[in-house]
Amino acid sequence: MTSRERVLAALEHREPDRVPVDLWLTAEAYRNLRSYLGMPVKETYPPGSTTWSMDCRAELDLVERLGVDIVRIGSRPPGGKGLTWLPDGTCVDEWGVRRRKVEFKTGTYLEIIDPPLKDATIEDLNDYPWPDPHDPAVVEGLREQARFIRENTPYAIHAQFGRGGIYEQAKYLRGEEQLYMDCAMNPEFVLALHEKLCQIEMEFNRVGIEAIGEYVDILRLSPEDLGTQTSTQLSPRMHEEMVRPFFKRSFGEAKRLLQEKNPRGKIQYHSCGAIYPLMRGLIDDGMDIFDPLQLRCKDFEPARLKADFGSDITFLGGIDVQQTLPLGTPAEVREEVRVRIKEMAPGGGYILASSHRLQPDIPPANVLAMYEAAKEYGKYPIKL
Amino acid sequence: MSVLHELAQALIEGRSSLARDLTEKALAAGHSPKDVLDSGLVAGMSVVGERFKRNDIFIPEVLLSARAMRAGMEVLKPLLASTGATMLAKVILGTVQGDLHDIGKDLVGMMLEGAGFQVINLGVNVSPDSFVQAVSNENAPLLAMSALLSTTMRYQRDTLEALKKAGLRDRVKVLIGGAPVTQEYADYIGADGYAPDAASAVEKAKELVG
Repeated sequence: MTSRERVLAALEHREPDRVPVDLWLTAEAYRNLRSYLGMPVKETYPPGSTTWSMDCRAELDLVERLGVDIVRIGSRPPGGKGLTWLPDGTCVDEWGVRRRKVEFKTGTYLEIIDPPLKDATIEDLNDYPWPDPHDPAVVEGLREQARFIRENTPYAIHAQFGRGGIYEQAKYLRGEEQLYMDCAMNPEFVLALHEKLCQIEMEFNRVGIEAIGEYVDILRLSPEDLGTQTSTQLSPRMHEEMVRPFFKRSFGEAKRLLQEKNPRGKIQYHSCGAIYPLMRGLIDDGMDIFDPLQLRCKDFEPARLKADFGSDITFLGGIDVQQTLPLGTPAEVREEVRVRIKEMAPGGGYILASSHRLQPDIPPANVLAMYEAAKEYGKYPIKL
Repeated sequence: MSVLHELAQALIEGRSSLARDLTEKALAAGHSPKDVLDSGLVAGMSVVGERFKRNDIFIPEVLLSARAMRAGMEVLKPLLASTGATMLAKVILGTVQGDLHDIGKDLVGMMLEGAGFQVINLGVNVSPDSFVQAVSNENAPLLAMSALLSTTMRYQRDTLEALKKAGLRDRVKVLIGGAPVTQEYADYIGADGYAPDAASAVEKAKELVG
């Protein structure tokens, strides 16, 4: 069975030869891992899912080395330039959102300062310099890359074209706290902003699918965090009124366009946090794959999610980046992998990966333990 | 309904101009500032905290209630100071170094203030040394630290070390929280308490220094 056949079987809820595995990580974690494995390390790597997110996409040599089954590819920022660095050391992404570097023990993150739409009115949204999904740089070279992977490698292709999302990007543009206040006091503004961002997200996806849809096994929509560690961010009622209608349109349209080009293509949606009450709605609106399965969140016990939603969707993720991977021993990581496979893998519908990006504080030995254990315990039929 | 009860209700409903008016009305009716605080603002915020913990209300509603509380506090604060009313303990609050996330930390701050604590909010990206300095300068018996990221929660441990080094560890209780933080982690690094949410943080704070 090739990696792609393995992934497709899992997505179609058939048991493959073993549980497929995916890899998602920050560029710093990527460099650590390559250097630990004695592989060549570059000074910089192109950004992964979004311009600012500090993640990167693993190259084929590491995918092969770890036995990962999925290759991640995607759009590039309009203009192709990514972040614009300013003389004061801050940077601006393609949405006009400014960030500054914040150092911590093992790396650096970019954090938002001064959200550009914090004082905006609905009228201001018309004049804002939005990113252009039709800029030629967005899909430049993507078709050749996808074709190369399909024709020369055994891997499933995972693509993200959206560059920020709807509710998520609204938080970045407006400021997170202000957006929460708007949801309560200025819902018209939230609806107007979400409408604009929904159109842009849909257009990025349309352009990407147009370019390479027939090669895409998994289309990941822009990540949209709806949860905190213990609850949803918004009440279910506010979510229904202000977020869900846009998700429904975006999910539905992406799925329709993708499946015109590739009838077996699936839609992946990401949210951090404890969003159990919203899961059924996301499934009804077209989500096929849910990542990253943050098992420490409230009411998010993997076995419960598998029982309640496992026949409808595939879960991707589930190995804890909050405690086990950064703080545990390789033996503890192996045990977590064993338990997760036992809970999630029967009947297919599970792709094992970390419960968020691998961070630079995670010892590479734990990362290797995760992939080795996945291969050892993940053989079907699961007898754990 | 008594005016204090109405005030508590205004907080629960997140109506800030009403909260300000009712605070003034309660004072004019002869209630002491401390009474208005305890039976009006604190009573209201305690319901808000409980509802938030039970997932009956969510971040936007809590932010509105906190705004209403602040509107009332603006009226009360100078009077509380001049009447020498005793408040609950001083709390130094902040998000640790390397971490700019403030919403969760600020919710904890609002709830602590809403329970009658004196909150000194140092903001985000607070170094261990800055925490130590604030504990020392303010002579605060409680320090509350937040970290959203697994990569930054390690600074909670560093701050505890810095307190030890400065000879302050015995004088201050330390409460930690944030998405990746657990009771086990709190035990592991030797913090005095952990709270998974803002309402629990208030309970824990009362338990430690109340």
